[in-house]
Amino acid sequence: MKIVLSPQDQVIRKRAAMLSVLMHVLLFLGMIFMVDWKAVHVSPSVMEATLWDSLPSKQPSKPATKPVEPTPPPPPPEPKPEPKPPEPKPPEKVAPPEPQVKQAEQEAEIALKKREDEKKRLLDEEKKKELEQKKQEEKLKKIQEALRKQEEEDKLKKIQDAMRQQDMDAQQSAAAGAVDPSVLNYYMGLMSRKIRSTVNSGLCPVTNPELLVDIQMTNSGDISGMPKLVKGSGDAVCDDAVIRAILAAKPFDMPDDPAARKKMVDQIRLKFRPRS
Amino acid sequence: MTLNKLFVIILVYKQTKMNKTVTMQNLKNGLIHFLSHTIGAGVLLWMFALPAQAALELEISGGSAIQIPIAILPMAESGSAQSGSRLHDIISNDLRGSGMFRIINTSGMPALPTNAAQIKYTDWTALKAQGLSLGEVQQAGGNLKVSVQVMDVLRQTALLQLTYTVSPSQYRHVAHLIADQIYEKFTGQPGAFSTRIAYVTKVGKRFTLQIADYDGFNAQTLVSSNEPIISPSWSPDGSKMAYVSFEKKKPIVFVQSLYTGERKIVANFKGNNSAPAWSPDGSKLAVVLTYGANSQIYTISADGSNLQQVTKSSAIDTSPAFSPDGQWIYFTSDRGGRPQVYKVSASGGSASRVTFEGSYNDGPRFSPDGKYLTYIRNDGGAFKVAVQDLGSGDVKVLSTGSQDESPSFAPNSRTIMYATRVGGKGTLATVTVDGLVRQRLSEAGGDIREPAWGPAQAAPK
Repeated sequence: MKIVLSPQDQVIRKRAAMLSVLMHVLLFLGMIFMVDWKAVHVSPSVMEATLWDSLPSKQPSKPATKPVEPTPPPPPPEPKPEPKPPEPKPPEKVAPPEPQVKQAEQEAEIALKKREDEKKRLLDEEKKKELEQKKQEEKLKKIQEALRKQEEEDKLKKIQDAMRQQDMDAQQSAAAGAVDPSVLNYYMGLMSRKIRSTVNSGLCPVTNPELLVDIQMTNSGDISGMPKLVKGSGDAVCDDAVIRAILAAKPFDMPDDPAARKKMVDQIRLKFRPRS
Repeated sequence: MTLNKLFVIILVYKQTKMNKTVTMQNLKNGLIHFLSHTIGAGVLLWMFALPAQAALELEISGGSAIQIPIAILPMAESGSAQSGSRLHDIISNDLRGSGMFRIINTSGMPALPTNAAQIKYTDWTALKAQGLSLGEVQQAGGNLKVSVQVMDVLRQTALLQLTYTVSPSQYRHVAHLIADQIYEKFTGQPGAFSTRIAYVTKVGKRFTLQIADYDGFNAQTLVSSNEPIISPSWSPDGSKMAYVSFEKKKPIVFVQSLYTGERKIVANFKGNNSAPAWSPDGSKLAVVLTYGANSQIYTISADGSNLQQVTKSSAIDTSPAFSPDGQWIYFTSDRGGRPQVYKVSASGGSASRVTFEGSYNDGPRFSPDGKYLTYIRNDGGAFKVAVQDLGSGDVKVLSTGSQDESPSFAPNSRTIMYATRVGGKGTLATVTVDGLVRQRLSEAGGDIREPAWGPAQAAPK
C-alpha cells in the first residue's frame, strides 16, 4: 500500500533525516578525538629522565599528566632509562670536560624550549579542542532540545488530532442516532421512576384514562418551558396533577454519553396511565 | 357515491377538459398516473412525519404519591387582629386531617415571605413544596380583613387570591373557608372544613345535643335534657335537625329548626319511635316504629303526616338510610339470623341483602356521592367502622377501636366521622375513606356519642 504523506509530514521527515546525519557526524568526530586522547598516554614514562638535575636554575617540571604528543622524544643523555634517578653525587660520578658541558647545556636548553613550546602548543590545541567540544556539546544540546520540543509538539498535535477525531466521531454518531440502547433505557427508567413517585393517582378517574404529555429536556436534566398536554384525561384535576408531578420530579439524571444525551434532549412524549 | 365512482368522474372530467377521447386506455393511464402521485405524496408525508416519530416515548403507569406537599405560612397580623388561635395552624390542621395534603414544616426557614413578591421559589422547590399559602390579617373597623394568596410553586403562578371580611368571632370559620378553597383547588373536590357536626354529650346525668364546627370547636347547644337524646339527623339543607328524645319517658322523634329553635314532634306513635333519617329532598323521613309489634321501617312526611310502612317482616328492621337518589332505603335487619344490611325500595316491597361478609354489619350510611356505604362491623369481637365500595363490593375496615359506633360521611365523601371510646369515655374521631389518615377530635369534656356530619350548606351560626 502506498502511503501518501502530507506536506507537513514531509518537512518533518526531512528535518529528521538532517538531524540524523548531523548526529552521525558528531559521533564520528567524537570517536576520533577519543582515539587521539588515548594515544597521548602511550609513553609518558620516557620523559621521566632526570638528566637535568644538575641545572641550578631550571628544574624540570613534572611530567604532564595530560596526554603529550609522543614525537619527537627528547634524546636521552644516557642510554640507561633508569626510572629511579641516581644519588646526587655529580662530582664523583661524572667529570666531563668544559666544552662538552656547555654544549650539553645548550642542547638541553634548546630541548627544553622545544619541549615547552611543544607543551604550549599541545595545551593550546587542547584548549581549542575543549572549546570546540564545548561548542559541539552546546550545539548537540540545542539540537536535542529542538528535537525534544518537536517531539512534544508532535505528541500534543497527535492528542489534539485524536480528540478532534473523537469529537467528530461523537458528533457523527450522534447525528446518525447511534445511541447505546442500554444507556438510554437506564436513564429513561430513572426518569419514569422519578415521575411515578410524584404522580398522585388518587386525583385521577378510576376509569384510568390515558394522558399524553410532551416535554423538552435540557442538557442539565431540567425541563425547558412547561410540559405540554397533548391528550388530557378529561378531568382537569387529573391533568393538573400529572403536570405537577412532572414538574415536581425534575431535574432528571442525564447520561454522559453525548449521543444518548442528545437523544434525551430531544422532545420526549410521556404516556400516562395513572391508575394502573 | 363511492370513492371509485368519484375517481372515474374526476378522470373523465380531466380527460374531457384536455380534449382527449375518453377511452379505457386513457382511464388506465390516468389511474397509474394518479396512483404514482398518491404514493409519492404519501412517501413524502411519511418522510416529513419521521422526526416526530423519532421522539422518545416513555410510559408511566400508576403513581405512588398520595399527598400534596404544601406550605402554609403564618400570616402577618396587624393591630388588634391577633387572636388566641392562629389562622395558618387551623388551615394546616384541616388540610392535614383530610389525608390529601402533607404540610411542610417551615420552622427551619430563616425568613418567611408575607407576600408573593418576597417568595424565593427555589427555597420552596428544594423543600418539595407544590403549594404555598401566605397572607395577612388586618383590623378593618370592628372586623377582620383576611387576605390570602395561594401560589403554585412549580409554575410560580398564583392559584388563589382570597379576601374575607369577617367578625372576630368568625376567625376559625374563615380559616376553614380558606382550607376549603385550597382543598378544592388541588383536588377538584369541595372541602368539608367549614361544615358542622352534631353530637350528643353526657355530662353527669345531663344529655345535650350540640352543634359544632367539624373539628369540635365553637360548640353550641341545641337541646338539653335529663333523659337520653339519640340519633341526630341533619336535614339535607342543614336548616333542621331530627332527633330522638326520651324526655317524655319514651322515644319520640322531634324535628327542630336551627334558625328559630322551634321544634315539633314528628313521630310519637305507640311503642318506640326512633332512628330518623331524612330523604334526599328533605320532604320526608324514614323512621323505625314498633307501631305494630316489632321494629319496622316507615316513612313519614317532615310535618308528621303521611305515615307509610316500608318493611313488613317478622324480624327487627332498624337504622334506615336513604340512598342519595332517594330510590332505596338501606337498613339493618336480623331476618337472616344475624344483623346484616339490606335494601328495600323507598316505596316498600321485598328487601335484598347487601352485606355478606362478617357476622355483624349494622347502621348503614351512604356517602353523599353514592359510591360508598359505611357501617359498623363486628371484626373479631371488636366493633369497627367499615366502608364498602358499592361499585366493586370491596369492604375495608377503617377504624382501630373496639367499640366504634355511628359512622357518618363528610359532605365531600372523603372522610368518615364516628364515635369511639377512649379511657371509658366516648370521643369523636375521623378517618379518611382510604383509611390512611385517622385523627381524634378535641375532647370538649364529657361523654361524646352519636355524631352526625352536617351537609355542605352550613347552618347559620
